[in-house]
Amino acid sequence: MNSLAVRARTISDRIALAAGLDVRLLGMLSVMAAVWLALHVLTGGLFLTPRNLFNLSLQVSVVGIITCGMVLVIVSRHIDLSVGSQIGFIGVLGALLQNSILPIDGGSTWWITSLAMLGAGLLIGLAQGLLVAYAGIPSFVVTLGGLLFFRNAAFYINSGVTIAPLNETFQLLGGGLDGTIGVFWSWIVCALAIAAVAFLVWRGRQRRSAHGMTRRSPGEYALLVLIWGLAIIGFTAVMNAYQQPKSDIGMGIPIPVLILIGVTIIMSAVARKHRFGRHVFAMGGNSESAELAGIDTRRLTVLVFVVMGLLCGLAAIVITARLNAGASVTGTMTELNVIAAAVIGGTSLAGGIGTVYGGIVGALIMQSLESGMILMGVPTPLQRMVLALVLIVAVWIDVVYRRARRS
Amino acid sequence: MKIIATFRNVALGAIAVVGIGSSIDIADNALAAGSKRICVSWRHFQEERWRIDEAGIKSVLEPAGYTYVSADAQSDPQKQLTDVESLLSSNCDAAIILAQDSKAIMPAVEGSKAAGVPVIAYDVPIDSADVTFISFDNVAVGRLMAEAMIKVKDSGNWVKIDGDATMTIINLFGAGQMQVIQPLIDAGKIKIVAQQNIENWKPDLAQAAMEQILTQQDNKVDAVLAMNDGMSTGVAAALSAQKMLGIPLSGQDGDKAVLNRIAKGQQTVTVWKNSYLLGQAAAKAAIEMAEGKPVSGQKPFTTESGTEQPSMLLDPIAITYDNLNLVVDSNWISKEELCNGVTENPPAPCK
Repeated sequence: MNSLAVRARTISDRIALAAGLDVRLLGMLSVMAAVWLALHVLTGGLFLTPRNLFNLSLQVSVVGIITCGMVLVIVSRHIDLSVGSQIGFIGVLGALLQNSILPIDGGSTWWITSLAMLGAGLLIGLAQGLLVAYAGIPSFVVTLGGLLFFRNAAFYINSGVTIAPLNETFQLLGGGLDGTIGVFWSWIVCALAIAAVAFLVWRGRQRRSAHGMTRRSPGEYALLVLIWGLAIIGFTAVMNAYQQPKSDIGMGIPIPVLILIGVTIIMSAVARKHRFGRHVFAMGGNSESAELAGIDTRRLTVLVFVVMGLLCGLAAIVITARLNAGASVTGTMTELNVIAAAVIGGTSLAGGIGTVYGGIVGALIMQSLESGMILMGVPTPLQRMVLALVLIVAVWIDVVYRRARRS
Repeated sequence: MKIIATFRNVALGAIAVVGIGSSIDIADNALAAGSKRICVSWRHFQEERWRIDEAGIKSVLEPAGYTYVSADAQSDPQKQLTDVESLLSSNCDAAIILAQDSKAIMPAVEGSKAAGVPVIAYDVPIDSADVTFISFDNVAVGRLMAEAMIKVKDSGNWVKIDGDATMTIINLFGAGQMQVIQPLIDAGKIKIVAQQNIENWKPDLAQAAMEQILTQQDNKVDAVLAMNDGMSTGVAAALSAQKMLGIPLSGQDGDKAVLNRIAKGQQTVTVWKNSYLLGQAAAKAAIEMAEGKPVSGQKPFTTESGTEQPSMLLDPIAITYDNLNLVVDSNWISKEELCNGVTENPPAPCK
């Protein structure tokens, strides 16, 4: 490699380090920025408006939530093809529960339904996990079975009849007209988030010195907080700038987007810091040596699928509440979008490599292209063709990048 | 009864999976060889819709003393060929075929012709001059949908939300819609400001598409022509988020949730196909053909490739606020389901 490239790499490494991000993610964020700018121009200035960014954040929430789990599944050298069918099935189950069993207008209906839906996800994950880990059936087969089983179960439990409308409080979990936390609380969340970033940066600094590592300069820490702070404030301002129709009341952050952000943070932390996450990476990297190192890989595999199932339950809540209907075809083919997002986000299908936030950026890029092309009025088949090419090119770039890194 | 039917389906499924022969309904195959048998080859019976068709068929066959024999191809065109072969060897007097693939089914049609068994192409066209096509008039579906819409609003900015682009049936729906809309477009009254095909007719995708279209048009949308009810549910959710629920909106299938929205004044129309009637029509025609009589009420129909065949196309019904009693009277939906949450300005069945 020539010296120019090396220097370019060290510069990009430094910027990335300053923001606390890896270089790869920085590259992806630049790609996303380029996509956004291009779409903004191509849509005649419609893309980068508060309204469209608000739409985009809502539209990405379901795929985003599932992607957080899928990254872990793929890292552990498994696959889950059943996620789309799961959200269809759990969605119909939840809609049925609140329309046929619980009082539809009841005050507790929304949370009982939500808990039941999470529980259903957990059980599905547990069942699939046990089949993979203890029965030794390849996850591809188990979840392919799950794909067929739950799609048809979604149809069967209510004979394919769409159930609507849903409980009004439950609907809030899907965003919609009142499903945001409003301007005031959005700023509160914003302030808390910045405080949390500052605290984490400070604690990281303490730890570095406690372990006798070289401290970075105070300027670098300040820059880190500044970059994150601006990003958080910018996001909040955009969500607040989008006003309710025919009024000047700002919408604020939608509830599903808050859920997605929460899930992303928790899952990132689990993957990077928690023992469970590290074991998953170890197992995905080399299952045998992980086992020799004393990791119970079977139990771990079950846990990975349980987490995946829980997140499918959560995604089912959001998608059903957002649609205000339980329809058996909901979520068809979502598994492909989710796997594509994870892979674009740098998760290696060979296992052992991947990041949760990468997957989220991958989901954002896909959804941006999709939503942007609808704004442009691109015919649907053409949209799909573009997305297919983007998937392949993104992974190709990643392969080239990794090869260059290794040499 | 339902449990038995379920068990039977499961059992048949198991047989098919293991690969033992074809899945002809053994119970009904009771050696009554030779006389008065109508054979039905289903494409994919595991959908609620076909049970209603089947009930319609049986309601005509049984009183006429005919035996109903069926096989389910489970979406496999190859299996459907062996299904029809097996059915033919059990001495059918007429065959009703719901083809999985309009072209791949041709050998089965030839085989029936050789065996002297008349064939009815049910619901899905088969491109052959030797079959009688019995279906709903899908062009009329589009036309009725659009007619109901322009009764409410015959001008302004319209959005078209169309079905999956890979399914040719949407061309028939679209042709019917345009018969009504095109003159108004030409007159400059209606403008189609956006059009999207929705992959797999998915409601959640239709919702996202509608959100984007409303953003693009800055909410200046006066009517949404959606091709089916699932997609109209997604559109309704997107409209609701912009306080626009109530603008003219179409659909198709008579979904219960949609009928409820029509009762609430939140949707204009759903085009309803009563498949019980379709089953009855096919069974009547099958008996007539089996007895060598001419099929009453048939008309010539030209397929996409230009082949002429006899046909019988039933008219679907446009269900609007004013004729909701039709779906209640035919027990398609209960009064409670239809009127759930209807408060102000209730339609006739909810009063």
